[in-house]
Amino acid sequence: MEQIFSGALTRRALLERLGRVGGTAAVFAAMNAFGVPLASAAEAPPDLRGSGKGKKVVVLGAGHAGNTSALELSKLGYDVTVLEARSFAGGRAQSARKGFTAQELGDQALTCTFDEGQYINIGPWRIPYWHRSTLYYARTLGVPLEIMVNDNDAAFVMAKDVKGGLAGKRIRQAEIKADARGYTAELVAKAANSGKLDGMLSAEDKQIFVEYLRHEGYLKKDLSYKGTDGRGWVVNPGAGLDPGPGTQAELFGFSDVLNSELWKYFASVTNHEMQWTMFQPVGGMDQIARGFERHMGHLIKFNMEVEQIRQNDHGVTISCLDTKSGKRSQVAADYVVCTIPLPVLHQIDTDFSDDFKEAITGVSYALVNKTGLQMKRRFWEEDYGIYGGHIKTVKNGAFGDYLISLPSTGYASQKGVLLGAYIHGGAAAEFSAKSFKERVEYCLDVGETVFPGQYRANFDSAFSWCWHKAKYNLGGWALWSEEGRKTAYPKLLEPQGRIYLAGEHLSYLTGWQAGAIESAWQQIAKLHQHAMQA
Amino acid sequence: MKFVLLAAAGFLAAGAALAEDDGHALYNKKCATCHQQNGEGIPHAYPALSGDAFLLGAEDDDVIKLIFKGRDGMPAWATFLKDDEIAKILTYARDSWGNAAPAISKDQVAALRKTVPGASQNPVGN
Repeated sequence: MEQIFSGALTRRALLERLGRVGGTAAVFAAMNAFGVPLASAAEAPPDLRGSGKGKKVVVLGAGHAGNTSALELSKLGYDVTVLEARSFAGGRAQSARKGFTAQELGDQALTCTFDEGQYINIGPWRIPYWHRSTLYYARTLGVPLEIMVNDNDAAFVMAKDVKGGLAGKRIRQAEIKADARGYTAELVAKAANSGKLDGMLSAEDKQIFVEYLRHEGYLKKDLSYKGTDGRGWVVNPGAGLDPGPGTQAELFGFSDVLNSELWKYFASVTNHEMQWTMFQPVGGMDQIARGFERHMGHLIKFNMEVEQIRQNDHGVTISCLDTKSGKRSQVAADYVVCTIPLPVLHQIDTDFSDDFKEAITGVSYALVNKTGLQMKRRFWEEDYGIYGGHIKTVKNGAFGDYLISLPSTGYASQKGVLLGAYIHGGAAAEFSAKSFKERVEYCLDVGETVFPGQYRANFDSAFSWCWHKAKYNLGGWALWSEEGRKTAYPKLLEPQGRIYLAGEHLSYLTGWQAGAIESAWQQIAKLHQHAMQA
Repeated sequence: MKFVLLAAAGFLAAGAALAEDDGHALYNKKCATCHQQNGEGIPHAYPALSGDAFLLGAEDDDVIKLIFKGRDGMPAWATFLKDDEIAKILTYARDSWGNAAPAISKDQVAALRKTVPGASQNPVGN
């Protein structure tokens, strides 16, 4: 323990010295050399030298992986064209707003009727602080960010079909957190003090351990847990004598806390991908795509559906259908960056090797639905002081462990769009088999369990999107099995002749924008290296 | 572990209890959104199961393994369906829409589950 601590001091002294001499770049380089992880693996595009002039690259797909590839390769002088099947860019990084249409496979269609300015992020909706690649483009493409409230202790949690006195009670996350940790700290501290942990702790450590538990659980001098002011108030403190000092809320019983199972919603730290600080673009996740378009939009050809991919030693030919005009055409390229999601690529006529074709089917994609509900009034803010974050329920009848997410934008305005459903896997298959009307009813039924009499009454308008029912996606994101990571994944990272695949599916950040961007950075570096040697 | 941590962050999918649990009802709930109630699938997206050579002709074990592991747009159902549910669904699909292949038993599914590696990572959302 001591060694690690003194080591850190030495390092810090060295880093400070380096900083004075070599500036932040030297410090960063040194910190990386020490193995101090600063960010996701890549935080800026690869530093590529040389010129791609005279070489043609066709990029398939104008999502983040495609747009990243096109932007960076065009900077190097490559002649780049992006073929996008849809009439707009951004791939899965979309926000549904007024006029946006869900045309689902199976022929169900719904056009968004939210008010102007209201939206729901139907794809990615959060950017963790350590996804430096996504943040790099937000910064350099001029996309303003705001905080995405990914956790809120004031938000309601509710356990329904559980044992104990908390069953069916709507409480705040702070209450359950304080009590779960407070009672646990009391129990362990008392056990330590009464010698029950002797043999597991040295005598000196026992003393500091108890001090730590007193701090962690807000324990009294006698090591009892009697609540803490952050737990919540029936009447908040205020002016004068009434409310004056206010009234703290009553503690729950420890057994009720345990049996509620609500503790499953928090832990010592949030897992890495969900940690603060979490961001979102102001005005919707699609603003990142708009940012890309401002810088490379002229390279994109829309409504171009890829029908066939052929290559020989000299180049690649892409055959595509202009879905607007019905005209078919061919585009020749020296290289191709293909960001088409694997289940879609699987359906396209290619001359890939059998081995490569098999690898393309070596992964399954996530079934995902998101449904946004526009509410006439922000009752969660006005009536309960809940600003952003998630309403979490446990064993909520037929709905299971269910989450409703509140908007992290437009606070204290009139209307708001909340995420009424974010459903995955088998449940998403079932949910997506419903009509749009049935889906909305389902969402309103869940919401009523937490906000009875308010949720349905304030409902205004809905939009629902299923990634597995979207023609050019056929799924939310790649779900690699351990087996697939060992067999198919490495094969797909290698170029197939002059064709380089890129996208979130070729990363360990699947389903995250950073995965798409960083995969593109890696693959274009390989492409450029090949082009420079050719 | 990862699953548990994500669950802690609050992204468990809704796990709806089934009122009807025969093969037909299960198929309509879990499979029909892509493969359609008539087993015709969706061209260029999800295969038809009516007359599907793999469903009807492959070794039973390979069919069950594909359901467990998923492929393309189909999720790894090992995470989301119980053994008897998989058996009922497969039996229904192999005996509907003109299909005529033998039933799959719960025991066949259960025996194979042990041999299939763990569920895919990150099944609960980003």
